[in-house]
Amino acid sequence: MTSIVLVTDCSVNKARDILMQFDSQSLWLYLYFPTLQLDSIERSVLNDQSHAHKQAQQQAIAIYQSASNQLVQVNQVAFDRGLRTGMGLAKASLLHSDLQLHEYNPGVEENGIEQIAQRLYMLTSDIALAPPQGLIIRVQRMLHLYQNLENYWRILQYCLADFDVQYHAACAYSIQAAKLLALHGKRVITTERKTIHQQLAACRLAISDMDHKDIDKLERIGIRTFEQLSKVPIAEVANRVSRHSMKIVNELRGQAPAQVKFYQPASEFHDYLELLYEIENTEKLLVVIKRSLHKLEQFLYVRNARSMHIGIDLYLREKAPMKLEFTSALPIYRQEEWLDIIALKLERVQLTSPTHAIEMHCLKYEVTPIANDDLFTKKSQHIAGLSLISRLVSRLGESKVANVQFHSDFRPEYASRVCSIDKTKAQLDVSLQVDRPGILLPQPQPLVAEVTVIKGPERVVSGWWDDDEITRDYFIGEDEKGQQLWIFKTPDHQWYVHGFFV
Amino acid sequence: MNPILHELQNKQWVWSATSAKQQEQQKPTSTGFATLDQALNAGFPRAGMIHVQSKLGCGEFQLLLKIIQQQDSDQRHRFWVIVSPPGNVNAEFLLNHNVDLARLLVIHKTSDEEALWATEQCVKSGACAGIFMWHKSLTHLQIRKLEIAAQQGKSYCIWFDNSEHMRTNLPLNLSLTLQRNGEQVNVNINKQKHGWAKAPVKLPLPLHCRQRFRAKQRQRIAQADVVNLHSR
Repeated sequence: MTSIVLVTDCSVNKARDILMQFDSQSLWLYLYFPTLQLDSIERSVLNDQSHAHKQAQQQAIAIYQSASNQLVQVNQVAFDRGLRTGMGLAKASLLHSDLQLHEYNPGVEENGIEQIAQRLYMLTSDIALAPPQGLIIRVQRMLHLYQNLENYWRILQYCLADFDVQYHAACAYSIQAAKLLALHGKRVITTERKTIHQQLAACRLAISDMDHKDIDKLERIGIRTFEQLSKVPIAEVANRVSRHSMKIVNELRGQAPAQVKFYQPASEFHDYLELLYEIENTEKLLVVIKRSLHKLEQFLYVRNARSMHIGIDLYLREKAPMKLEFTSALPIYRQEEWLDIIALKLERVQLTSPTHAIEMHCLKYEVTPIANDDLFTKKSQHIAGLSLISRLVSRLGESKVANVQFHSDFRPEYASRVCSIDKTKAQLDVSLQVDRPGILLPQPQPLVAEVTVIKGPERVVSGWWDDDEITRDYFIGEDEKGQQLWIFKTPDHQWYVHGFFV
Repeated sequence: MNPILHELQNKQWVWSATSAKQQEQQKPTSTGFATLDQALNAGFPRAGMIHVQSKLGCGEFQLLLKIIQQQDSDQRHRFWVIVSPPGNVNAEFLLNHNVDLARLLVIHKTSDEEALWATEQCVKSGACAGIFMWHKSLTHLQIRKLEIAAQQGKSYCIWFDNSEHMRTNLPLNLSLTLQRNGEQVNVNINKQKHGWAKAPVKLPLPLHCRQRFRAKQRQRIAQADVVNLHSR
């Protein structure tokens, strides 16, 4: 079976935006995720062992759509209490007063869909998003790769199991048919047209993509299911319904090509996570961050990339989001390494208000060059050095970890400078004075002890050009305790200690 | 593992690359002074903590900097870290002692707690050849912790102690007291892990100008002994 690909947009370069049309010979798979938002909330609870989480697991949760004043998703606990989708808020709260309600947010589901698509993209090539709750996959080409539909479906199931979401899947030879089957919750995984047609026959048209007006019209003449529809001549139907609905009818019958835009994986990493309850303690936040890091690790791993910089936005209650930036001195991708850096920095962060959501993003990453490390090279130590520096900087702050640099200046205060790590330049040939102390006092202190002069004087007159002129006679002195001091005399015969010969 | 190989290994008939490294590790580092090497049973241990008690400014840092100079070439890429120095570290002094400034980190303006944390991190990371720290006093537990970390990371943890009173009963492997006496530094070995107690060692640690002065003097004496045959 060959499929004809008609490219409607002629610019081949913009491959992303091309709308593709297919004939009715391709097999499609539709994945319908009825409770995606609910699943994403429940998932954030699972696997955590703390007491608060266990409590939350017993909680009846429902997703509520305020526009229609209906519950749109209920979890198992809520279902057992008699709550059903489509109920109004008043009835629901009467049935169960302790119900935890979340506002329906299509954004969360779109995000979830995209994440699933991203993972499936590793296994299958042609995926189209049908937000907020659906995914369309073109199976036809994959059949050859995976030999048959059973193998292919098993692998997809395995991948979907990781997400721990509810889904209905159905195959058909048109997108609309597959969608209708999936919306009915029918599990049709087959390549046989006959079986598909049988299953489709009983499907109600009410939940298809047709205009509501047209659905009503067809209902009035007794057409409720696909079977009834297929018995009516097509011209009869065409007279009654709009052009849009007609297109859907044709697609359902397998007589019109489908149009889809295929998914391309994102080039940047974004992960938004709504928290089940607000967190004030940064330590608890780490548990949540770890989940996002796990996703980041997978994202980078499949791209063979590493990153040096990630950002986390903490969404605070009644406050502007807190933006935190984390930097590593060398590119890394493993979650443990990131967690190390994040934990150290978070220790110093004070949350001014409880956090209700976090978002992690990684905009830049680099592809890891292929390198064969052998066991005894210095490379691993080089990496250990860089990771040590990032750990030190993230806990102590940049100002406390420094390099020392030498500048050719006769004034001791200027000759030696402390600078932050990445600003170090290679030392050129420098002319050095001998017999200089190891430790210089930040401010010269008046000399109080009695000292014997060993060496001196050495006159330093310099700095007339930048308003920090010094005129000093330096001596090396030793006191009776054996301490060697670097002392100087000012023109007005004041003595100061400036350093120690450590 | 293969039982034959296992047995051979038990008998130490099999040479492995890792054991070669260990043997090398155990070889002490020379102090740069023959007399001190002798007193310390061939030099400083290969890793671990060294306690140096002295007044500030006795040449203690200079003496221990010899460790950097004695370092093997394959250790050159490792960092040296100076933790909470009692003032600003002078770059000119370090360059005079052939220290590569790019491989030197300074951790300063920290609290005691932060300094200890940083020390432990550096020492155990394996990326540092050693650290020099100035610290007022360390407890029993802190010393044990740093010692284990230093052994683990195969690095030195050199503790400069400028306090007056003697410290006994601390779980140190090597403890020295330095006292300057003119151009010499008296090194008293308070404690070391192996061998008997040794008498104090006197090391010449003069200023650079004095070294030149001595060299000239020696030259003059040597020249005085030469009878010039072709003198006019």
